[in-house]
Amino acid sequence: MKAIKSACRQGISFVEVLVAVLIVAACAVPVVYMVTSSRTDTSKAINYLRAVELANEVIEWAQAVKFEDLESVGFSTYVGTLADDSTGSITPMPVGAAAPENPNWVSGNFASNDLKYSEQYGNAFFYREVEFEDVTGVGYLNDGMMKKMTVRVKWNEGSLPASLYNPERDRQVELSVLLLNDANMNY
Amino acid sequence: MTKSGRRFTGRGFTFVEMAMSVGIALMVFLMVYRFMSSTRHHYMYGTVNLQNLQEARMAINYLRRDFSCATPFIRGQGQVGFFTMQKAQNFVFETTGWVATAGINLIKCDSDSISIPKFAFGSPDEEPRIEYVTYTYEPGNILSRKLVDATGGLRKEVKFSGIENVEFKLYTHKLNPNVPVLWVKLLVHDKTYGTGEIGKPLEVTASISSPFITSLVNNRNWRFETGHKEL
Repeated sequence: MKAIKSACRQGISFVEVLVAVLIVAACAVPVVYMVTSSRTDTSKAINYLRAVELANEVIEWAQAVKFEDLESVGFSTYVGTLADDSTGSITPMPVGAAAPENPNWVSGNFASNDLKYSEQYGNAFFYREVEFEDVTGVGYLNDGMMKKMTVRVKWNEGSLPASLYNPERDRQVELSVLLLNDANMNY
Repeated sequence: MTKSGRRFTGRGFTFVEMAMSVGIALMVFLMVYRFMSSTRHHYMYGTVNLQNLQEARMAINYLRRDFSCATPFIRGQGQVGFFTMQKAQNFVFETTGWVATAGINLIKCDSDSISIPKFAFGSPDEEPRIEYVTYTYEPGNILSRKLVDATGGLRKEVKFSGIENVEFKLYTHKLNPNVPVLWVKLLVHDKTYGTGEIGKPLEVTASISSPFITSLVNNRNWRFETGHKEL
């Protein structure tokens, strides 16, 4: 009886407290990791959405261009880095808008000056590449009827690349489309 | 019970013991509170950012799907004169020089709204069917997409919430300054938690073209882009 009473009066030892704290901490770590990683994943998904839209944009431009003008050289001015540091700070590059040739559109809601991407795009240091390839040797298609276009958008998740002007980045999305020459439909 | 045992159980806490116990309890409580508060903040921040992403992606998907089928509505020969038809093909968009004409509905694009005649899927006969879609920025940070019939009757409405700002703009690219492209800029900031201080506003841009408009402006002598019928 005396021994039991003595045991009841005994407090919690330091080792017991330590073990309890460690167990609580071990339980908390996955919770914290889960919450913070979900935030990082969302940020990655946002940049992925932007990258896909940037790739789609170049494809939209290509659809507006005459088939014979679909060449990497012609597009090279309008792809490449989307972040410019020539002024000392990182600023978004212009889209490449021009005054419309159609006089009926001058008074409309057409961009009066060159459009620019959001400042938020600067954190990902996007870089675009485009390639065109003639589709030849397909039985039912004459040569010069179809081109394969590949757009690659590369980016970093916040970390500054070695140079904004070379394509080395951590992540990449690649889209390919086939473009048909609608002015040469001789099968 | 022994005398010493009685004396022990009868003894209360000293002030120092009480103060230390309360101090330790407060410290533990504060640590737990800060941990819970930080976790909750992270969770809310993540939720808002995810919601922003979902809304932006959905709105852009809808816009791309609609504008990629866009075309000026032009009735067929016999209903619209040849020169009027040519004029409509030259304008494509309602700009200041355009005079409203029966049998023709051009695309209307303002900075915060756009009205698009577009090809409807599954035209039942030879005449391509046209339906109308409008996007308008409404009070309460809502971007509303309305699918309407020729009489203006609402057929379907989709609302995108948390849109802090929207900008529609048309542009032509230096690669071909003859073909119009729609520029959309969305600033999305979901306010699920009732405040704009949680999460970061998301800005996304997209360029969208319509192959039908591209074909029309590149081949003005072609006539097949006319003869539409309203759904």
